[in-house]
Amino acid sequence: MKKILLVIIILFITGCNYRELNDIAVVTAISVDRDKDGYKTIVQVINPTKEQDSTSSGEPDFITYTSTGKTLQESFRKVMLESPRKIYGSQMQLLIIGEELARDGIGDILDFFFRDPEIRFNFNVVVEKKNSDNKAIKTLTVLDNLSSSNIMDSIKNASNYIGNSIDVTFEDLMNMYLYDNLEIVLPSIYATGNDNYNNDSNLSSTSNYSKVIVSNLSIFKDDKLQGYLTFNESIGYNFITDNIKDTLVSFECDNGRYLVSEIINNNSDIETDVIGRKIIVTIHGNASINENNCDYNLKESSEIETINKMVNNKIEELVSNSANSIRNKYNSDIFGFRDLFYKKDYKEYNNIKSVWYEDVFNDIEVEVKSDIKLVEKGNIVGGIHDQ
Amino acid sequence: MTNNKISSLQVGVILSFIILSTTSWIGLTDIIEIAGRDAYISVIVAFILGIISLIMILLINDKDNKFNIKKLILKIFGKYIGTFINMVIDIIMIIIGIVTLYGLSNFIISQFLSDTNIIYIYISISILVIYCVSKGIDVIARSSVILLFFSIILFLIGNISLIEEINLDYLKPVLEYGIKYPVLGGIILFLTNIVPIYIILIIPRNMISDKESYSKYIIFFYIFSMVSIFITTFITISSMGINLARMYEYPEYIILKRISLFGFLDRIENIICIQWIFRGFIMLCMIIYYVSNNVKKNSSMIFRIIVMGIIIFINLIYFKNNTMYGEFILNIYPFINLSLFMIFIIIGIRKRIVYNE
Repeated sequence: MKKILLVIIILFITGCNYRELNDIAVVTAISVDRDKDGYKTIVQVINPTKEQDSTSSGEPDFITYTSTGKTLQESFRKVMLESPRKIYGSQMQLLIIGEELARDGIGDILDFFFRDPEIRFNFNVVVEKKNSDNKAIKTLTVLDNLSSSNIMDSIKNASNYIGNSIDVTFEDLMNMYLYDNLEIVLPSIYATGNDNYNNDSNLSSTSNYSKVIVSNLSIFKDDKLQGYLTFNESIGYNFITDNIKDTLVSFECDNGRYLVSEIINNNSDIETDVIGRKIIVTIHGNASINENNCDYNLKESSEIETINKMVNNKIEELVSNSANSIRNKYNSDIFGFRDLFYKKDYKEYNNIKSVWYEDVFNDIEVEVKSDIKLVEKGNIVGGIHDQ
Repeated sequence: MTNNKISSLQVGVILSFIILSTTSWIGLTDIIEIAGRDAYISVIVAFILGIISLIMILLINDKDNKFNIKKLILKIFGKYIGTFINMVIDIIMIIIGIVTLYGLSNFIISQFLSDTNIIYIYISISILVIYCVSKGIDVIARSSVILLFFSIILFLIGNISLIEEINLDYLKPVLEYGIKYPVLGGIILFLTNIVPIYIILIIPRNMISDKESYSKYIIFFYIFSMVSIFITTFITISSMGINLARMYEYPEYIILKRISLFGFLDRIENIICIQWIFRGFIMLCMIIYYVSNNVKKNSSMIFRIIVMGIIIFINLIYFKNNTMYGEFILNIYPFINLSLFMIFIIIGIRKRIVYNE
């Protein structure tokens, strides 16, 4: 009798917060932007029927709901006016911040996501460029059922194989936002193509379809978007902050002919000279020759040495130029030099803290030493032009 | 079956649960707030201060002691003063119970059952506590050992999985604002988490089957508990950074969300944090056992229900929200525990004087 009573009690207790899957709308991505009413939010919700049954043709894999409100909470609640189910954010994968909102400052939207115990903080965050008109979240894609997965996979690929982007989770963003010594850097995307981005014709076309493209990094000062880095600046930034996993370095050796080298197993060390106001970035790693249309004889070690030296010079030039141009253009310490100074010598840092951007940041000498070793040259020993 | 005999190991385990009971929602949060990224130094300070309490316990409950603390107080202070001191200690124990029950219930509400009224959580926990206490100290002790076994496994899974998240840069610069704040944090941790260990004095030595191992186990589990707190503090700050750690109500729980066992077993934080519920449960059992001890056996059940009812009632009227709870924990609770610490220092000294006469 006691056991039966216990089972009955347990059944009642577990029922407190239990929700049937049929009662919830599982959110996979949210896009937030500025609107004349305050905020415009677009919520991407999985279509569970389609996910379970591949034969239910004609139905999209996801549905988007758009609403506006003075606050984010109000805006999300208004989604319920359209959606028959309660919005459930635990499975959220992606937050897209519109450029207009990013330029106004993102501080006000962070509290909502940070406070909600239902939301996990490992979802990715990106900035969507203004000309994209918040289309990225709604764009139907062929290879990934959900546009959120498509965007995340594209950012991962850009980060892993090109080096012009980074993977930023909401927790990383909060860390950058809360920490005075760091400025925010986020990946950016934009949607391009025709107006059929959210209907079936986008899935049946092979070339002129709408798509979402990963762009270069967006940089902030305080919590306001300042602009977008160029491709080379993004790679230079990633070299300094040790975020490069794989990238290509190419240089012209002859008129219109190039040698391309792939940097692999890279890591960067930073030394700080607080008194001398100097940062020394040392880049270690390996490289391989991926494409050679130059007249180098790759069978000779002296030639390999020459190429190796050129690769290192190219990286040093790229990183050094990036550091200088980013500082000159934006005066935003996205590299975390301030944090390096603080951790190395907080007493000296406290003396210069108040005039960091005025007197110190732009005057810091950034010395780059590249120690990349050329170890691979692919399947062939020499070059096809040698024959 | 109850035989009212327990082992030194079981007493040690209970001591460990008492120290760890409120770490996740009081101790850790407080030291992170006070000492910032140097919070792990506070744990070392608290460890050193806690040795005083440990010595007091071993002094009061020495190998010749035949009485539980309540009887001992009556013996060394006389009937009137002794009864008064016992009443004061009982009131402090009830306050510790109030704090433990609210902390545990609020954690459950905020993370798992946000739509549930907190009173249902209070009642569910209370029924279990009253039932367990009614079975006697040996049942509480045996439950503790079983729960400790699970807790250790969960603790190891949690912390080993988080080793890869450690970034020592988050700990720099060390002692930027001097030693003052880590020491203050250490004192607070000592008062909120270590001082309540005097509860175990309700178990007299003659109730312990292997008396000679008492000191050894007490010291071992004290070190074990403090090392656990140190590891948790260190991993929380070094994987999350002080800015994020300060923002969360339960930083230790949030950090568990990062665990991905073997690259595919995610979202296991709710399983791992069950150990916190075990700790809170044993602590509440010991408080009710302490307060209801010495009451006549046939009326003890009613007395336990009344005590638990008082704890629930005060929780309902005093802690209207967790901000009030947080203020109480930081501004009043350490002083209440300080008075408990002082009382036991006086008891220890008085015992030495009386027994030497």
